[in-house]
Amino acid sequence: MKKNNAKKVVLVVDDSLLVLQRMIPMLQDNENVEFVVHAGSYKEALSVLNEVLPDCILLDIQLPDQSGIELLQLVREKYARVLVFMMTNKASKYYRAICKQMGANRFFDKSMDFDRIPEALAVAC
Amino acid sequence: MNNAIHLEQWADSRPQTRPFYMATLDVNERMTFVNTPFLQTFRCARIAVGKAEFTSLMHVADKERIRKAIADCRGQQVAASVAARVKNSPYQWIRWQISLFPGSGGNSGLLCLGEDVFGEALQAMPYDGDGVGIDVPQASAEAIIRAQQKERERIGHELHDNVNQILASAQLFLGQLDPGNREFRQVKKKTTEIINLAIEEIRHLSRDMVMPDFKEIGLTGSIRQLVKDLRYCRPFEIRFLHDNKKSIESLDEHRKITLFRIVQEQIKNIIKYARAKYVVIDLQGNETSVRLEIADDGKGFDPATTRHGLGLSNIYERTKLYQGEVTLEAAPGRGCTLVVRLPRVQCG
Repeated sequence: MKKNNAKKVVLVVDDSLLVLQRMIPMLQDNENVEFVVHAGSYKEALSVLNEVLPDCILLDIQLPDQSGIELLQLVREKYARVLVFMMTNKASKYYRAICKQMGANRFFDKSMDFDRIPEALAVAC
Repeated sequence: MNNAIHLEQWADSRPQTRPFYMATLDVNERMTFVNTPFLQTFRCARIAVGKAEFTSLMHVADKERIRKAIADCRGQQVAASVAARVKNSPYQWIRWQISLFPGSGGNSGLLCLGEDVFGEALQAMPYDGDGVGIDVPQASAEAIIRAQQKERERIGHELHDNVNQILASAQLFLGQLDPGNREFRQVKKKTTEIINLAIEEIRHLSRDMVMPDFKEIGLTGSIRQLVKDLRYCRPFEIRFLHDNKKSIESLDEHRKITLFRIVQEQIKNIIKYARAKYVVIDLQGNETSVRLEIADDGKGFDPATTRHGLGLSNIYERTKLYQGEVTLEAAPGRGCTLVVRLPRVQCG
């Protein structure tokens, strides 16, 4: 489904529509990204992962049903090759350390680093 | 127009309990972004992520309307509102609001935001682009089953009973020609070939019109589709359970058709008479037989005193054809459970 060309499939897991509003045009213009799927919760993300194997997941920590860190853990167990970029307002050292320990590839402060995400995608994917 | 539709405001303005569908399209109307409800409803991941055109996921009768709305949106720079059915799920209507959504580089993509609409809301909703009326189905479960079955059967039977009979008569008539004449023999041979071909074509067409496509989605898929369509009308909670899909799908086509018809027939009975709140369809297969159970918690009836209607008679007749068994357990106030067991191989 996705390995035949260089363009990547990205899964965005975030319940904020405001973030989504900013993110859609940003990803749409990213020539490395072919297709984006949005999940607004942990549960939705699981259902997407049953259908699509993304190349990269942009993952918020604070989700309405369960923690994004739990999802990170699950992705690392089941889909080891998928890149996971944390994208959160919980940008303290504590969360950075936990996410790094759990295997996140990058960590972005949602309010400070948002514009750096496209570049990170280009480099990593 | 204001390009930046505010997703949060839009989402807040609608019932929170229902999912909304979201997709963005590139300049070629291919999807670049979808949300989870969209992915689940249209199953586009399995079609081809990022390759499917938005309109290809819509019901064939609504594609043109969607195309026009997209063209209007691009041409006139205005948001377009249009309703369309989901491909392969003709009773699920989604109202789409389509607007320009330029990327930061200025490439004008489209943002499509959709929500389910039901009966009355749909009727009250014209397409504001060109005034094309929407062909609204009766949004009742009974009408769905009745219309679907009636129309397919009408066309199927028309072809089978009428056209096919005429051609068969012509074939018989040609058979009466004197074969002594060489030219006549050639004409007869050719004409018979053509008529046989026509009969075969019509037989296929007739069968396809009357029967669902088991080759593509199987018996379990066809029942699931029926259940999904009924859910949109919400006459009752309905669940479809099955085990051993491989065993069920390995049944021959005739038995699959019989089982599917029985499901349709019994659901029709439940809608018409039972006033049920919950319905469960359970399909189990093993090496020797298939067992179909349809249970409802409706008002029930006394089988000893209630005359079988045409629906139940049909079920008995269809089952008998394959030397199967029908068991009916029902009592006033205690719902009804219909069990049909079909042997795989005909006995005797």
